[in-house]
Amino acid sequence: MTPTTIKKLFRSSNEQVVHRLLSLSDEPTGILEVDGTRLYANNALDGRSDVERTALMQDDQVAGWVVGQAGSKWKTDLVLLLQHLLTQESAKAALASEVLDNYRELHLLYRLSEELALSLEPESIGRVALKEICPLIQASSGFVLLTDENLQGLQVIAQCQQEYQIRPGPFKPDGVLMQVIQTGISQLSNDQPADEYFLDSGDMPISMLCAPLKTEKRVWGAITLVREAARPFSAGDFKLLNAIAMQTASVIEIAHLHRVELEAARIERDLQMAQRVQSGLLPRKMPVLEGWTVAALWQPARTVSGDLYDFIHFPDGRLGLVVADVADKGIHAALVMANTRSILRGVAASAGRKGSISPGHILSRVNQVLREDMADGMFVTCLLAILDPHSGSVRFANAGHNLAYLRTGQEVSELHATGFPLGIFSNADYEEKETMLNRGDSLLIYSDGLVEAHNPQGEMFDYPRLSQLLKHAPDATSLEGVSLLQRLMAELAAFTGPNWEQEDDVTLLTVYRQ
Amino acid sequence: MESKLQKKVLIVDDEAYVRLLIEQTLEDLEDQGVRIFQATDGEDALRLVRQEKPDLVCLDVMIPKLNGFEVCRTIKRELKMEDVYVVILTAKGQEYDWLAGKEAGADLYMTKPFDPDELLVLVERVLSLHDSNHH
Repeated sequence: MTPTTIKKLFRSSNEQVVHRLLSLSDEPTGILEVDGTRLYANNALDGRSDVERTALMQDDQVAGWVVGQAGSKWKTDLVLLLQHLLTQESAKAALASEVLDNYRELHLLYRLSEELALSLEPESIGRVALKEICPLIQASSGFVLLTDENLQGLQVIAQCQQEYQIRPGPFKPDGVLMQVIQTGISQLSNDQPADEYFLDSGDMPISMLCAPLKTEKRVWGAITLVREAARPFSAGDFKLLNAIAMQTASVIEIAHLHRVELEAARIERDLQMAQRVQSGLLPRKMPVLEGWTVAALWQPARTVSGDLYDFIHFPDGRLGLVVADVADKGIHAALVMANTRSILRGVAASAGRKGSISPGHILSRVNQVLREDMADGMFVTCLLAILDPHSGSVRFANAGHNLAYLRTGQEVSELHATGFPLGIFSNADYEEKETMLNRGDSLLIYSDGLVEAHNPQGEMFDYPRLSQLLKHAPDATSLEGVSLLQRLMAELAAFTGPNWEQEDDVTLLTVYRQ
Repeated sequence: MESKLQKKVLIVDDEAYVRLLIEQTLEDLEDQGVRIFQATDGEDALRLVRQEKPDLVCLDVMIPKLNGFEVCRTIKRELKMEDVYVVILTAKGQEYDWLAGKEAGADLYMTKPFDPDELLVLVERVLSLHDSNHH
């Protein structure tokens, strides 16, 4: 800031006051600039030699001169008044300079927020912040680095006016940078060893300003400005960098959330696509058999499911009924489910061609093939029943799946047959049993999503409840096909309450003999 | 360097700190002999325009008596002082005023907070531009 001199009084809003003041006396009077240049002189001063000059002072420096008669009261008063005006003008200039500095900062923050709003990549956010702050604070270099959630893995994402290359780290844990990141508190140090942060910089001392990029959530990194120690940073620089760091941090957080959101959206799209593909693997239509009603329901807990139901049409008119459940949920389970379906269809088709349609043998062969590709710890439970629609005979085998229910007359019974789940052992045998469905009888095959559902009190739906629902049907039609499945799902909904978050996939398959 | 050759800038704003701010921004120009005048409302602004014939006017929009657009229109249309370079200053978020400023004949439109350095460069440029026009 240029010092305020007497010249300023002659061109500011004080100008008229000063001229009026000077015109008040006829005594010889003159005003000189610091270098002696005449700013004002009245006629009385012409040719006078008995005058002297008195200095007007401002901040211990001469700000101008008043010329007048020695010992004149007028001159003494004039000096006093001008001195007063000068002091006021100087205070106003100091204030104006401060206002201007603050305004520059305000303008910077405005521009920064505008520019940052256009950035969604942490790298460009860091660059924008440095581009604005480095010139204003007159830093000789600056860099922005990010850290991971554990405050490790520092990575420089932007730098400006880099004279020396930044060290790849690790930085001293008790050094300024690491302290700022660990504590989330800014630091100003005007005596730091340069070589701790820069390569080939020698051991010259540097001034360093470091502010954390911190939001309510966490510390995302830090912004650091440096310059030679001979030019220390001020408290004002410190305050400004903090303001910028706060703004930058919140935009970096938004950028991070944006990235996470984009990723989540991509996964969601993938899942939706996977669900479409997976539902395409399920039978599009229910089999139409004279004298029989067949119905199935599939309700995944997540977008995709590890449950499967299928119908296999054998050449001799028999119908294979399949319900399987992969011991997992999500994409992994869905892939295993798709694989199981293909293998089952392949093995069943082969058996059908050979004319030896045995559910036990089919499951045994499926197990062998599936086992080869199965990850450890994964398995599939599966119930395969083969219905002869002419006789009503049902031959079935069970690979560790929930027992199917048979309702015959007023009684409900479980169809027992032993066997390990598929995919655990390379060789497994499956017990094969046979039962009959007479007119009015129905068979229900299901996955554990129904019986293992919980209500808000933590109670399980469980097998007895399902068996009772089958046993005590309000009327004959409520045992048949879709009606039965709808009734079971309504009971499940009533049991779990409205805010139920489905725990597992639910699959139901039923056959009713008319 | 008296009257006609002396460059003049008029600052019109009813907020004291903005006037102070612009004056401080142009402080170095004052040392080079540029005279700076200030007005706090539209009528006072027009009085000074008639009296001093400034080379450049920094004109806030929201000022008492006559608003900035009316002052600008009067300068450019009624007083036919097309040579007076008018910079309209307006608050952030009222950028839609841009058209009104254009319509009133303003030479430039700046939003507050303005960049002091940008304003200084502009004033320097405009004043020396006027210089070459005069010659």
